[in-house]
Amino acid sequence: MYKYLLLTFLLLGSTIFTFAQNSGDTSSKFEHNVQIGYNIGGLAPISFPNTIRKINSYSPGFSPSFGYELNYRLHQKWGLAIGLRVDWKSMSVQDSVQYFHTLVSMDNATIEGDFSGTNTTKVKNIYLAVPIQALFYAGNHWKLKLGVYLAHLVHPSFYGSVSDGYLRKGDSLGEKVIIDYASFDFDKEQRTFDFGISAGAEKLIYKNFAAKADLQWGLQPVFPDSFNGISFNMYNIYGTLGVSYRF
Amino acid sequence: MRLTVLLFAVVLCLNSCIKDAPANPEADIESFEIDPKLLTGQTFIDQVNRKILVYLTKEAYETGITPTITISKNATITPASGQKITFNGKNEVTYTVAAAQHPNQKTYTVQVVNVGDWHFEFEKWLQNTDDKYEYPVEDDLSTLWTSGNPGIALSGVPQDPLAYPTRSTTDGYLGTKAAEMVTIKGTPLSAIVGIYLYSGSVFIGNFNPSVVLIKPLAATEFGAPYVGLPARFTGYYKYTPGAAYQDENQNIIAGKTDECAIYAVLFEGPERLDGTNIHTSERVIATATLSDGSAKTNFTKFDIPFVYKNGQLPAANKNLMLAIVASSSKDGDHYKGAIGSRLVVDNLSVIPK
Repeated sequence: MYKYLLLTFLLLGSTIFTFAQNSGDTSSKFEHNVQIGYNIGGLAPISFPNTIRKINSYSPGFSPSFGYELNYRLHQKWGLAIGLRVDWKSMSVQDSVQYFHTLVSMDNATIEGDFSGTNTTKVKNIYLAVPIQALFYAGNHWKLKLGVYLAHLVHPSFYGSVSDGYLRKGDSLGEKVIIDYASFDFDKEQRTFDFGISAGAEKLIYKNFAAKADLQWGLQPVFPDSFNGISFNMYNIYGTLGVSYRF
Repeated sequence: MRLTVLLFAVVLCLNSCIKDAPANPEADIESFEIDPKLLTGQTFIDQVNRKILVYLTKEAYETGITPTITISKNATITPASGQKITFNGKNEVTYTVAAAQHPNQKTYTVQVVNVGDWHFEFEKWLQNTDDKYEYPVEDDLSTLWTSGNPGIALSGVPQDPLAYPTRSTTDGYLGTKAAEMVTIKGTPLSAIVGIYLYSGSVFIGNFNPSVVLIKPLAATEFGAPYVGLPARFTGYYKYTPGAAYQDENQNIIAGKTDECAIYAVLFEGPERLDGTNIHTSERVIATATLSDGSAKTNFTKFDIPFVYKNGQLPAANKNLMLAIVASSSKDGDHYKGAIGSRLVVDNLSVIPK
């Protein structure tokens, strides 16, 4: 999949490049940026189901973002931006759940039930993403961006545990089975492709350095419909705070 | 910087978007207390098959009982706790528990267990509705025998009676039904918790699934009330050990052959013994153990005398309980044995003194 992402990036990049060259005046219309940032967010449901009772702790974990972005100014106010970035999308969350429906399947062995107790989830996914955005030069050294991103999950990591609780076998009317501690690992269950809305703003603050903030909001559930380990859809919702250097 | 604010709002939402708690969907009978003077053995709530097994004195059976019942929070029960129930010659009374969350409800059947003459032919079997494993029942459909199957169901075996290690067979003594136990390979899910093998087993007593993951040996609760003193334990069995014996970590032990286990233990009740202490408890009074657990191609009769501890008979006022246990792998309780080991038992009897 990341081959296609690279291809998309190269095609669009070279289109802009060619377009820029054709117009003659490349130096002013064409801008390269390298970016570094920190991702904060989560792999989370859009609306919390009532089976989640309390968030005991949350941490974004080690979530850097490195990127390159090509800007092309089409017009005085408008431009195009295409980038290639590597995003660590991590989080570590511990929550209390009640009657949380889950189904875990391995080969032909399946166990299904409602869990009440403590859930710990650690996500350390690494995505290779291509954001494609429209660029608006708002003046006063501000750049506003809105578009989409396409991403490939290069390194999946989604694991955790359930503890200090009980499972109701089948559903909430099933027999109670006390669970001290049981781990789960859903790395491979995740979709390798992700896409969503990408929006951002940056302001030139010192020489060629700009401060930037952006948001990548996934529109596709990270787990496919066929996966029943978690009874609600979860999306990659991450914001990035960082700096950008233009050259 | 408004976007940054929005971003933090999203993060903060992790805490602020918690919804109201759902109404309690659970509908359990959690406890069922009867005046101990009316009991010959401890009451057991079989949460898997939704049965409450009571062991009553003759008088209590005739005049009825007034149980004190606790149920899931905010649920309701009919008949109510503290209401007298009578059996009127039947041995079943049903209770319905309605959860706070509609339309969830459960029906529990109270069964009076009468062990009768301690002769078991394994002719009648029922199937668990959800998981499809078989379990033997008495002529009046009461449950006296159980197996490890309810625990094995938790490791996600296919919903097919033959996928479980304990089931009925028509390959019985004199061509009738019998109990068949086959040691099977663990499932991919059980392997996660380090279980690679399940032996088949039948035993008199109950299976308590709530502790099966934290303390598996305690899940097998052995014994039923016994009146009088047993003299001998008899029955028929045949046994074929599996090809390769493995230890609890799946290592093949060359040269070792699997053995079956068949034994009966008389102990002081009314509290049951379980897999952790059936062999070691101070409360054990007498045992009758099959010493030859080797291969037997055809049905072979055994007749074993009960050996009383220190040759002493118990005092007459003791509340005695008796357990019978059979397993296709002797060390199956520690997940050791040979996959494919097959034990069939039939016509088990306890002959009183």
